[in-house]
Amino acid sequence: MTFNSLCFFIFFAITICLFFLLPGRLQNPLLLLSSYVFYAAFDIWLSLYLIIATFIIYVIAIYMDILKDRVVGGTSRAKIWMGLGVSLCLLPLLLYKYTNFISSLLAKIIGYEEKKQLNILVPLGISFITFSLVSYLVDVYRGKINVERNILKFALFVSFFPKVVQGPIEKAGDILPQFDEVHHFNIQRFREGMIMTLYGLFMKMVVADTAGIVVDTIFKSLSDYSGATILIAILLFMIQIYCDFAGYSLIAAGTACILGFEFKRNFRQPYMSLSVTEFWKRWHISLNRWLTDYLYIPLGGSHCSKARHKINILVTFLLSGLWHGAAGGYIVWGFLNGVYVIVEATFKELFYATNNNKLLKDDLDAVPIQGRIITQLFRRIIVFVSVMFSWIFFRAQKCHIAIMAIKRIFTDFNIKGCLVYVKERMMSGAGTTLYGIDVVYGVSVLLIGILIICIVDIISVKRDLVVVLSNGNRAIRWTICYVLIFAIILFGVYGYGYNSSDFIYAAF
Amino acid sequence: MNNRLRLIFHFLVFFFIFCAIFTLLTLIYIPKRDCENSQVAQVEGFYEEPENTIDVLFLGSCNMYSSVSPVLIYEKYGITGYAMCCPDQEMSTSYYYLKEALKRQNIKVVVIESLFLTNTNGKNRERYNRFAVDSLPFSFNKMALAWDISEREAPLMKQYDPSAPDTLTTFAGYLFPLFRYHSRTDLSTDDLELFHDKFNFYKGGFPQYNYTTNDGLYWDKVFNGDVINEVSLKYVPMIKQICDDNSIQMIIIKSPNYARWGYDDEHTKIVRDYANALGVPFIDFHSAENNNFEEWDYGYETGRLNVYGVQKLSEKLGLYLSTTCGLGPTNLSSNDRAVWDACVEKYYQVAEDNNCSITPGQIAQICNRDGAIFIRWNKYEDCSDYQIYRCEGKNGEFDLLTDKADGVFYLDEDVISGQGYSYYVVPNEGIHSGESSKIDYYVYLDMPKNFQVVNEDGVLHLYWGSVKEAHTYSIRRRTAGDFNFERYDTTTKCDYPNYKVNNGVLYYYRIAAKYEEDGNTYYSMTSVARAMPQNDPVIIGVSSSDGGAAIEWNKVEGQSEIQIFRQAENEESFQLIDTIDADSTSYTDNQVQDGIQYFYKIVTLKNAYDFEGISKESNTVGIRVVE
Repeated sequence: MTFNSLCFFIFFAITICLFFLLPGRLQNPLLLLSSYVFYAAFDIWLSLYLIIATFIIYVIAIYMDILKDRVVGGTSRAKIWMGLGVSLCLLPLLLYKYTNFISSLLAKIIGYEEKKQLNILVPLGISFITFSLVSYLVDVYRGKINVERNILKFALFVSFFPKVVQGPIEKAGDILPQFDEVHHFNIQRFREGMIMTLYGLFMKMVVADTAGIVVDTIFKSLSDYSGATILIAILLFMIQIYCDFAGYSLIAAGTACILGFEFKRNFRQPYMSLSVTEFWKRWHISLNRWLTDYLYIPLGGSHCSKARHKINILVTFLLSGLWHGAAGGYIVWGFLNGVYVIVEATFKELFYATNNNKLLKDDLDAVPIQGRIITQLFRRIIVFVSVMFSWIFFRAQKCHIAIMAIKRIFTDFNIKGCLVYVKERMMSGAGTTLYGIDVVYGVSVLLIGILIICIVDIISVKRDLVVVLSNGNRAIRWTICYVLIFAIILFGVYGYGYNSSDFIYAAF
Repeated sequence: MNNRLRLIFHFLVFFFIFCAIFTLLTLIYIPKRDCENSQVAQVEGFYEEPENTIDVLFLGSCNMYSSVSPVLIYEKYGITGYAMCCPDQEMSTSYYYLKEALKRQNIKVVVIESLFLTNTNGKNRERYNRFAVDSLPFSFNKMALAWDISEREAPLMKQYDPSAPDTLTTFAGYLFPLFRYHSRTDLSTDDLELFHDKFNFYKGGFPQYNYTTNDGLYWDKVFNGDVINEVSLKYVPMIKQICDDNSIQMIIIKSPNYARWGYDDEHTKIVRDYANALGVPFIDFHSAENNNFEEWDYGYETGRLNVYGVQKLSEKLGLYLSTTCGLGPTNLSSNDRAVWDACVEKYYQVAEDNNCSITPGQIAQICNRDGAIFIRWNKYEDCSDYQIYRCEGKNGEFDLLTDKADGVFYLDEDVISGQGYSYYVVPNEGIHSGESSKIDYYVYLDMPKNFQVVNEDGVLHLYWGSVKEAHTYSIRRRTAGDFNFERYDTTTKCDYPNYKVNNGVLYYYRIAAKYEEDGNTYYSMTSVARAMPQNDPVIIGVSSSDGGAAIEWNKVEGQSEIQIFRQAENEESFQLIDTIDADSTSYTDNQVQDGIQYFYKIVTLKNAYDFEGISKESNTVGIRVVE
C-alpha cells in the first residue's frame, strides 16, 4: 500500500472520516490501528518487527528513566542501558541490510569462496523506524524529552503511517506532544494538506516516474549510449530522485496535515543552493538533522581541531552513504559529498581568516537574496555540477558502472549523434518511443512537468505557496487542485505498461 | 447557511465538478470502437434494441459472432436474435451478459458456443476482458463482472508483468476506464466525438468477407485445453439455472473451423459429455455429418466461417430453432419489423460492397488466385452443372469457356497478365436453367514470385519478383496474435526494408501487386512469408578469468536464449557448449585447458509459436588461457 496506490487513497479516506467522527480519546487508538493496518499491508509477518522493536525500546526507555533518577550510579547505568537500547535498535538494521555486503566483503578480504547470497526480506522502513527509536532513546537519556509512559502513544510515535515507511524522521519531542491534542476537522489544515498531497503526487507520479523510465532505459544498457545521452540520463535522475523523495515527503506531510499533525519540512529547493553545505541543509533535512545530532556532534562536531572536524564530516557522510545501501556507489557518493563539504569548510576558514573575523553568512534563509546575480549563478552551477557528479555513483550503485558512465561522457560525448537520434524519433511522431517514453506525449509531459517544478521552486524561495494558495482565492485554488488531480490521472505513471513506480527511498 | 452546511456545499460542488470533468475526459479517452465494423463493440448495440424484441441470445467468443448471423436467421425464419459476444469471451462474461439481456428482453432460447468452455484467454486476458466490460453500461452486473474478472486477471497478469496492477486497481480500471486509457498516445480529433451511433445492423454477428487460402491460415494456440475450464464449471451451471428459472431453452453448439480440422475430436467429446451431463442439447456443426462447408466457406484468418459459411450455418441453426425449439416468427411491431427488414437489406448490400454476393445465382467471388482468375458463384437451386462464358475486356463478344462446370467455382488459367476479362454463369438445370448471372469483370495480374522476408541485423527486408503490369505493390503485415493483415505501406519497388519492427516479434507479410483501371483496383496476392527481426549479436570482449575464458557481448533485446559455441584450436568445428538466458551479457567458460586457444561465437534465439527465430552468428573471438 504505497502512497500512490488506489488502496492507500481508500484507506486514507476511511481513516480521515473515522478520525474526525470519533471522540478525541479514541483518535489515537484509531491512528495506531490504521498505522498497523498500513504497515501490515506490506507484509503481515514483518510487522512483528515493528511491534517487538516498539515494545523493547519502550521498556528500556522507562527503565533508563528510572535509573536516571537514582542518586548513586544512576546516570552511568542509564548510559549503559541507553547504549544497549541503541545497539538493539541498530542490530536488525545491520543484520537485514548489511549481512550480504559484509559476507561478500569478508570473502574478498579473507579469500574464502563466497556461498550464495541470502535472500533477506527487509522490514519496510527499517531505517526510519530505527532512527526514530534511537533519537527517542538518546533524547530521553539526554533529558531533552520526558519518557513516554503511555505505550499506545509511544507505539503511535513509532508507527504513525504518514512517516513510518520513508520518514521524515520526526523527533519524539516534536511529534509526541501532538498526540496529546484532540484534533478537530480544520478546513485550513485540510486545504494545506490537500495541496501538499496533490503536489507531492504530481512530483512523484508525473515527473519522477516519467523521468525514471528514461533513466532506467539508458542505465540498463549504458554501453549502447553516447556520453551526451548518459548526461541527459544523469540530469533526469537528479530530477527523478528529487521529485520522488520530495514528493513523498510532501504527501507524508500533507496526509499528516489533513489529520491535524505537523511535520517539519524535509526539502527546501535543494538544487538552488549556493554551496554543497547549504545543499545538505535543504536536502532530506530530517536525516541530516538526525545525523548531525546523533552522529556528527557526538563525534565532536566542529568544536575540536580543524583536522578532527574534517574527519567528523567525512565519517558522517560516509556513514550516510553506507546507510543508503551496501554498495560501492553509495559509499563513493557519501565520500564525494563529504569531500565537497570539507573543501567548502576549508575555503570558509580561509575566508574567515581574511575577512576580519566576519563569518560568511550561509544562513538558510539569508543566502538566496545575498550577493550578485552572476556570482550566485556561478556558485549554483558549481554546486549543481558537483552534486550531479556524485549522483552518478548513487544511481549506478556500482563504481565500475559509474566510472564507465563518466568515461563515456568525457571520451564519447557525441552530441551530434544524440541529436540526430532524437530528431529521427521526433519525426516518426506519436507512438514512437524515445528512451522508453512516447516521443511526443511522454517528452512533453516530462518537459512541462520539470518546468512547473522549477517555477514552483523559484517562487517557493520567497513565499510559502501552500499557505498562499490555501488562503487565496477559491477559484484559483480549486483550479490548481483540478489541474493537479487530472494531471496525475492523465499523465501519471501507473497501470499496465509501466515499470514499478515504488518510491526510491522505500528501498533504503 | 452556517459554516458546516457551507462546507458540505463546497465539498459537493467540488465533487460534482470533479465528476463532470472526469466523465468528459473518460468519454474523450475511451477508444472509439465502431459498433458495426469492430469485433469488439457489438455488445453495445444490444442496448439499442427495443425491449422485448429479441427471442434468441447467442453467447460465446469470436467463434460465435463469426459463425452465426441473426439477420439471416430472421430473414429465413422470422426469429430475432442477438449475439452478445466479444473476442475470447469467457463463460463468466456470458453469464453476466445473460443477466443484462434479461433486464430488457424476454429471451426464449440461449445458444452457447463451446470454444471457451475449454479455452482461456491466457496472456491476452486483459485485452479481451476490457472489451467485454467496456461494452456494458454502468450497472451492478458490470461491477460484478469487473470484480470477477479482476480477481482472476490480476494474479495472472502479475506472472507476466510484475508491475501489473493489483486486484483493486484492476477493478477500478474496469469501472473507470480513464484509469486504463489515460496513457493513450494515439488521441486524435476523432476522440472528441463523444457520442456515436451504437446501433448494430448485424445484430452482433460479424461476418468475414475474405475466403480461405491454405497459406494464410494459422492457429497460434495449440489446442490442449482438454478439460472444461474452472470458469465454465462455475458459470455454465449458473447460466443453466437462470435458463431453467426463466423457462429458457439452452443449447450448446460447436462452430466449424477450417484451421482445426482433425485436431479436436477430443474437445468435441468433452463438450458433448458436459452438455449431456447438464441436460443441454449439443449440436456439433464442426463434425463431418453436419458439415457441408467447403474450403471457400471459411475466412482466411483463423479458419472461421466467412459470409458464405455463415449463410449455411445460420440456415441450419435457424431450422433447429424453428423445428426443435419450436420458435415461430417473433411478434414485432410494424416499425420494429421494418427496422429488421432494413437490416437484412443492408446485410446484403454490405456483402455486395465487399465483392461477396450472397444472393443465389450470382457470381460471388472473382479474384486472382494461383496464376489464374478464380470465379465462384452462389448455388442455383437444383443445379450442379453450369456453363461459363467469357470475353476479353468489358464489351467484347462472349465465348463459351466450358459447358460442364461442376460445383460452384471455376479456375480460368488461360489468362494474360494485365488483361481484363468479363464472365457470366448459366445453370444447365433446375428451375433457373438458362438464366444468366450478372456479368463480373476482373483484371488478371501475375502473382509476385519468389517472395521472401529476410532479417538483416534487426531490420526485415522484403524481396519479391517484379510484375510488369503492376502499378504499385501493397505491403500487408500482421504480427502473430493479430487477426488481420493491415495495409501497411505501398511501394513501386520490388524490395522493402521494414525498419519499424521490434526485436523478437514474429511478423507475417503478404505482397499484393496492384493494378488500377477506371478507378477500380485489382490485386494479385503472394502467399504469406514470415520472419522475426533479430539484431546480430556482437562479442565485444574476451578475457581470461580465474583459469576460465570470459566473453562479453552487447545486450540483445527481445530474445529468449543465447547459445554459446566454442571451437578449440585442435577441433574441426564449433560445438554448442551452453544455452543461457538472453538477459546475460557475459559468459565464463571454465572447461578450458591451459595453453590451448579457444574460439567463441554466439547466436540469439527466440521462439514464437512454431517459428524458431535464430539470429546470425556473432563475430568470432579467440583466446589462449594461460594460468
